Amino acid sequence: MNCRKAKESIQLQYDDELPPRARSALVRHLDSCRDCRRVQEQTALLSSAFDELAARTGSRTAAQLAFNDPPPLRWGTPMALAATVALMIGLWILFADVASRTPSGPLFVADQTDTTVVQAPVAAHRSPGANRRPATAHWGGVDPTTWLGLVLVLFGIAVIALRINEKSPGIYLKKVYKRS
Amino acid sequence: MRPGLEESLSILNQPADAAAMAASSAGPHVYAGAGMDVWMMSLRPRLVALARRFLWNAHDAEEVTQEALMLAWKHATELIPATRNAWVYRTTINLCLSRLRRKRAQLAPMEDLVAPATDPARSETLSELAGRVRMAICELPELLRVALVLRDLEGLDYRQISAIVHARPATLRLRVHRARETVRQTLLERWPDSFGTDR
Repeated sequence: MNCRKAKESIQLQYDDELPPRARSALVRHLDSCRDCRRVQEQTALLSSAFDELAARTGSRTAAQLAFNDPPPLRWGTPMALAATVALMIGLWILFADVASRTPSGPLFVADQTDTTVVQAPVAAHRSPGANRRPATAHWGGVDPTTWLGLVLVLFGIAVIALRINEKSPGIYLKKVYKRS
Repeated sequence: MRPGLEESLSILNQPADAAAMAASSAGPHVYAGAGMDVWMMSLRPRLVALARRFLWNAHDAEEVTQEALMLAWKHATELIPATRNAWVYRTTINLCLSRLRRKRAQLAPMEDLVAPATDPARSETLSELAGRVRMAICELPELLRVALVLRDLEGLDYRQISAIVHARPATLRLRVHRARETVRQTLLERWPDSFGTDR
């Protein structure tokens, strides 16, 4: 365990959300790292200060209440599904495009005019652009279908990455300690 | 203001039994929901505590709570019993934040806050640290402050906070951790001796 991971674990431990295995790893790390031990002590003191402030400002009984108001916008799951579908369609378009550009014959053919076997690329024996779709100048030389595939793939990856980022405590906590 | 609203609000200052009787005799236009008055009565001290944890001032907290309960009474017919706790908490927080946007928090001295009965020597050190932590909390951005107050001062879990502020538990966890880290850094920068002399 490195120091950044240890700091994440200290926070999770304070929230009582640290898994037992990570707890023992944290204990081992704290035995050898003075800085992290200090962070843990400071976090414990902060916790006492929060308790003190809470005790001085009234009862702490709100946790007994039922709060049942779900967030009105639940776009996460549909968005993840849409991202997966977009990713699949995008990849299919890109693979289909690559397949249409790849020559179907052998890559090299022997030149029959000479006794020595000279290998020349297949492309030289074909008329230029025989297997290619006409390139469009407006789209940077790439046809719109390829662009569509690329956009869909990027969209899919971006949304799935965002979802993972929100779900996984290990990933998002890195943001907290980026500065420290 | 709706007719009878002032009369309705006066029952908030009465004991629960008296409030229920007053409400039932006030007529259907006043008695908006079954158990509404008792619910408001039971919630009042909790809302005052919540407002104090944002405003750090008993007088302002009382005013904000009264305002929040007035709004709850006004919208009594629209409030669903299952979700009204979250609604009134959210409303109270919003009122606190809008008050803080208009003017900075008038922090009451720490001595004015009721001290819990603990070991006096330890209490003095802790009280000093708590005072500094309070100042650091006041300087946090709103989103972080709300998450920290609800989690560490109110003692709510992330699902409950999620219902109140309409954010994902994972997002809230991030905000709380960031807020704690910011408070810790603020203390170390401004008062290096906050956590003892060994730094």
